[in-house]
Amino acid sequence: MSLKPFTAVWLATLLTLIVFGQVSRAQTPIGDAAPPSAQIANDAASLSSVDTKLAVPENRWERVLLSAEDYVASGQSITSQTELYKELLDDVLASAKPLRESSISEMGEAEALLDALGPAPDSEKNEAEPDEVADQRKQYQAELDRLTSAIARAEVAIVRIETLKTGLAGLAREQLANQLNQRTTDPWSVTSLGRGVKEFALSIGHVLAAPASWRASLEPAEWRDLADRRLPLFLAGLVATALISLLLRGMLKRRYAMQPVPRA
Amino acid sequence: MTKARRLGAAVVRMVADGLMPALLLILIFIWSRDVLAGHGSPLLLDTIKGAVIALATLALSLAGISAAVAPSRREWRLLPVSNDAASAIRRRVMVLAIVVAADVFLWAALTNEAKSPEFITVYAMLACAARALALLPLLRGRLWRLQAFGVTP
Repeated sequence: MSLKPFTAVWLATLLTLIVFGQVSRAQTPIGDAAPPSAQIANDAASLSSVDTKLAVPENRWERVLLSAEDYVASGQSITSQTELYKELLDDVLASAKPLRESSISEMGEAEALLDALGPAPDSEKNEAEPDEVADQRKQYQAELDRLTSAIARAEVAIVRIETLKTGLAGLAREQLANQLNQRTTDPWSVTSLGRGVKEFALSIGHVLAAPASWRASLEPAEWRDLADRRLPLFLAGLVATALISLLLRGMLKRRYAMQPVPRA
Repeated sequence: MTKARRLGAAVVRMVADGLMPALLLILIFIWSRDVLAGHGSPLLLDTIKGAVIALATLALSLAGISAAVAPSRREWRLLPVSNDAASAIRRRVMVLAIVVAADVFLWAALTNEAKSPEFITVYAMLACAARALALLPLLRGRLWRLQAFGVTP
């Protein structure tokens, strides 16, 4: 039975998905600490569900910013990592700016309420005010302090992001300059060929082992979440879309594509 | 068969056999990124991206060339070449598409980490040599000898 090229492409697509989808189900997790790259990816996931309450997002921002600062300080640029950090920083910026704006607007309201209570009594002159008013003043002041602190932290995050973006752009520029100025080695030299082929084989090994090492880097809870919830949904959606596409393709070809021309 | 009719049928074939699988592959990549968000390693994501781009390139190339030369449907052929030449062109373009797709996949997956000049030199040499070797058979003059439509070779 001969396999038509298009059927082969479809089958290869499906096979790729099944392989990546059901990767190493039987393997036992090693339980090593997640590599830095996985940590970065985790940050991205955390950022996607940023809470609008003050204390929660800032811890996530801090993780991303510290990780990005380490990356920029390392001076080693890898295109995919640089792009990933740019995306993460944009995410942080997208949550820091609205937080700053909403805090500024809330601060205006809190200040108006505090002003409405009038000036605070002068304790040196032994002035006093009713307890209820004093409690309210304390409450509004605490709210004002909280908002001032939130605005300050958002401002700091924004300034750090701007600095980091400059740093990332510098790294990318430097990488490009290095690539342009790099003297390539002689491809016919036995040493270069040996090293190149060895590195090529090692890299192929890394790519082939990528699904297994990714699986090993997952915590059991993470894997359960993926295997029980996300992957079945993904595969079901995929099969449904593939079937609909095949149906559409068949209809399209039956109606409009090349048909045998009847001989006169 | 009018030229407009042939062109229309070729576009339909290109959409059905090339564009639709390519769009499905891109959709799969976007979904897989969402599924793996927070759990995926950059190497795995780059490998999936490479595989998706390579397969999409392959699907588009195969659909494009099959639509243009239609080896088994002479009356629908856009290029006025003989049956044998149409089959040979399609076969050789397929080989070239496979080489390009393999290069796209390997480059996307292997350059996830910084590479040494030796690696880049050796890889570029092998990839360019493979592309040139796959391209050369397509340059043979007899493949591209045009014929008037309706003339049996």
